Amino acid sequence: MSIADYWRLEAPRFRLEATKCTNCDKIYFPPKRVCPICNNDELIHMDLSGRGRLITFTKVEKPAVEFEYMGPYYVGIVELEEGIRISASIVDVAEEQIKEGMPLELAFRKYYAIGDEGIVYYGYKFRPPL
Amino acid sequence: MQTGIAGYGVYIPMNRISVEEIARVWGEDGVRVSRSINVFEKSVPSLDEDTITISVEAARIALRMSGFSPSSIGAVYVGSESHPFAVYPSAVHVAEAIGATPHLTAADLEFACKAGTAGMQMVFGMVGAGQIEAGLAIGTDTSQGRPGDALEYTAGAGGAAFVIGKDNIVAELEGTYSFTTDTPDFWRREGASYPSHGSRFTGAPAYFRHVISAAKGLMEQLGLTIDDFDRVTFHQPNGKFPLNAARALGIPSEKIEDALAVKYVGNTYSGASIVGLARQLDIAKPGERILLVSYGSGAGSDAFSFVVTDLIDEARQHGVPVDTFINRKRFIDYATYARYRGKIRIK
Amino acid sequence: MNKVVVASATMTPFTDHYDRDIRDLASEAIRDIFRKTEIERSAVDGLVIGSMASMSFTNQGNLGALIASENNLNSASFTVEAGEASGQAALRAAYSLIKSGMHETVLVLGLEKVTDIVKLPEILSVVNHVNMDSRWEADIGLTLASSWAMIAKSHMSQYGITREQIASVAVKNHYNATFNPFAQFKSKLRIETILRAPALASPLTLFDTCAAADGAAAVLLTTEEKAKSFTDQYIHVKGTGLAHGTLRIAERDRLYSIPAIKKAAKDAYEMAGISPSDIDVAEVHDSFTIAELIALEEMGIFEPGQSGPATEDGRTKKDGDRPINTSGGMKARGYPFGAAGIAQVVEIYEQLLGIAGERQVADANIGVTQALAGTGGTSVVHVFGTA
Ligand SMILES: [Zn+2]
Repeated sequence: MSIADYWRLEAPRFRLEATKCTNCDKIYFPPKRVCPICNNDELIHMDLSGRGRLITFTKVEKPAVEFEYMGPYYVGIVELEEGIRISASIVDVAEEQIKEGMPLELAFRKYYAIGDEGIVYYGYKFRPPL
Repeated sequence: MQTGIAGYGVYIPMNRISVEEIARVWGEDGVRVSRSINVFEKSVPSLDEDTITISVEAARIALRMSGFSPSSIGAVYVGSESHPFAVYPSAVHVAEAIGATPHLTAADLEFACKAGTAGMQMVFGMVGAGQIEAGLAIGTDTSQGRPGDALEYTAGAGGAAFVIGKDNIVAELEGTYSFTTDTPDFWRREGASYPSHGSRFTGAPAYFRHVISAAKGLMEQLGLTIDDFDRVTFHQPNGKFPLNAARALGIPSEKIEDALAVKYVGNTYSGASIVGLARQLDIAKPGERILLVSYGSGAGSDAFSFVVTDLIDEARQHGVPVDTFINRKRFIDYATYARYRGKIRIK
Repeated sequence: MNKVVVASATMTPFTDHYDRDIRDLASEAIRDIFRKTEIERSAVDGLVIGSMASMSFTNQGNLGALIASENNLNSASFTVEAGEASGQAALRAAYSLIKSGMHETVLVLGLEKVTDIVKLPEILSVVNHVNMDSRWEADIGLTLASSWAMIAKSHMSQYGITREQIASVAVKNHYNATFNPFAQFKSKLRIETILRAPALASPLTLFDTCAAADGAAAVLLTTEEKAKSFTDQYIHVKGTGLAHGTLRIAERDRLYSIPAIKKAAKDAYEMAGISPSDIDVAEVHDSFTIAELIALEEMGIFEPGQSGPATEDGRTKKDGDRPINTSGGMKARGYPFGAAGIAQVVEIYEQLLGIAGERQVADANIGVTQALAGTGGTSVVHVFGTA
């Protein structure tokens, strides 16, 4: 991730801002600029609900260097109410609690920092509803 | 038209370490320590939580309760002494995450444990003057105590956020008054990992003088007496100080007891007095009057008087009670706590 | 039309070559091609390199020009990158260069120098970012191992295969590798050892995947007509297929299947005029144990859900009825990313020519190679034949 890339995509990373095709109503997350179904390029922004359920998951025991500070941690595929599936980290969940189908909601968390002096990247993760 | 709180929200990380577990490591009697500070456990942020993430979570709840749209938020102030960046505001992260950018002002504030209420005063002023329709004031900390220091038993993590405006008011502001001096009871130098403090000097000339003076000043300003208040919340560096301050003011302990989240989540610094306010708002009835007095070392206290409105019951349906966070917990041992707080550095 | 053949093939050992850099490995493989083949360097008019991440691993780009000039090859040279499938993608590019008539003889070099990065989490970061959706998966904490773990869970629940059946892929590939002098690991592996190894991402453990390795592999592609002028040791490239799927695992409807493999295989089979039952020997992508099981099903070698039991029953051992990864696969022969796809061809070359020694499969006439990037971003399949 670079700071410019992070900045460009803060809206989807911070609050699940998706795009919606004004022609066929299809919602895209990650957001697309052109609808691949009808080629319409007039897509509008909308924030997703942030509510969904866990489709599948695993525990990352050997993280890549950026996420070594967090390990081990859970990741999974979340299906949002809008029908969109996204990959995400699952936080605030215990080993005996995590299971397929469980409800989840949007959380705002740190991804990783660049060393002691570099930028800190933030974005969405998911957790059991409060 | 009056200004007031339109929505409030708190966020407290779910990790807890008990005072007994900390005492075990330092060879102290945990039961005795717990009793002496009236704190049983404290919250600990996860490795991916900090003042920014906590502020965003609290802000989202407050905004949802307020009924205000993100674009109507004209100011975001985050008060903290543990901003993740010395330069690069926590407040802009919050503004972006709630979708309030770009037509607003924002800044980070620092005044030890009262930076949150300093932000509330600023937003009340701006809303009252008609400069903005609504604003967001947040007090959050993930503060640290040096290992083995008395502060380690209490330094917790959490925050509270308030949407302030003239519409949808759940608690109307009657007045605010501040009492401020230069009193070196507690500080942290630039770049230092842990704060230093004046031990017993943090008591009488610092906490008690400022809290009590601010409370009295506010009552004098508003022509109220202590009996006019149904509920009270003070800054709560531990579970004993606010009770002692209340006693000195002639306030019965049952009026402040409900505010003492510190017993279960520790001292959330900039969040402490206002997490207490949120807990009082969770249970207050319409018409009740609430006294809030913060305290920030260095030193100053901001006092506020609020009157709860009829909208509170409906508004609560859209919020998350403080007790949800108090009860949402998983206990960790001292070793895990040390890792989570960077007391063990793996990189 | 030109018939394209593989007229020579070689590889360096795959291991952590701390004493050799990317240039040394390339030169060693290229030198070996010219030592064992009666052809002049000047006759090679193309060099296509398959390399996954030389920039990230060694801070060197443009390997085409570098390797050609370092090795006295006056050829048109460039690098192909398709993640973990880079080697096989380079082969396809070289094939089309000859098929089109633009070039006559093209050296295809698979090359990767990984271990200049000594810390595993840093290697993992490179592999994840190249082969996954960097922005929406690798950068938010998913790893390739976690993706394969979720695929394994899906495959297990869809078909009722067991954890032991998945592990039996690694056992089988280690067994096959004991007969390969070039293999990184020539030791047998037991199911229990795999299951008890440190967890990677549940249900997978460290022994479900490959170790870091460096290496180079080279094959010489040319026309059958040209090949006849200098050798009788050649095999035919009969079909090629390349297909892609979404990089994002969350967007797959069915995690237990990988459509890109099925599509690439179908195209390659059609071009070669074969069906899966005609395959005598195959080298398939086994970066993770579960990957081999799914590849065998998508390639039609076994019915969906049947590759686990078949592997457990020994049917895919070098002496089984459907020999798979006779080289030991990436798991045991070694897995220097870009080099691996070409090493697959080296194995099929030897099998079809009957020079595979103790690994030799009887009457091997049709051989197939299959590569995969990530968990299904790109798959490449090639069909080779003795005629
Ligand atoms: Zn459309």
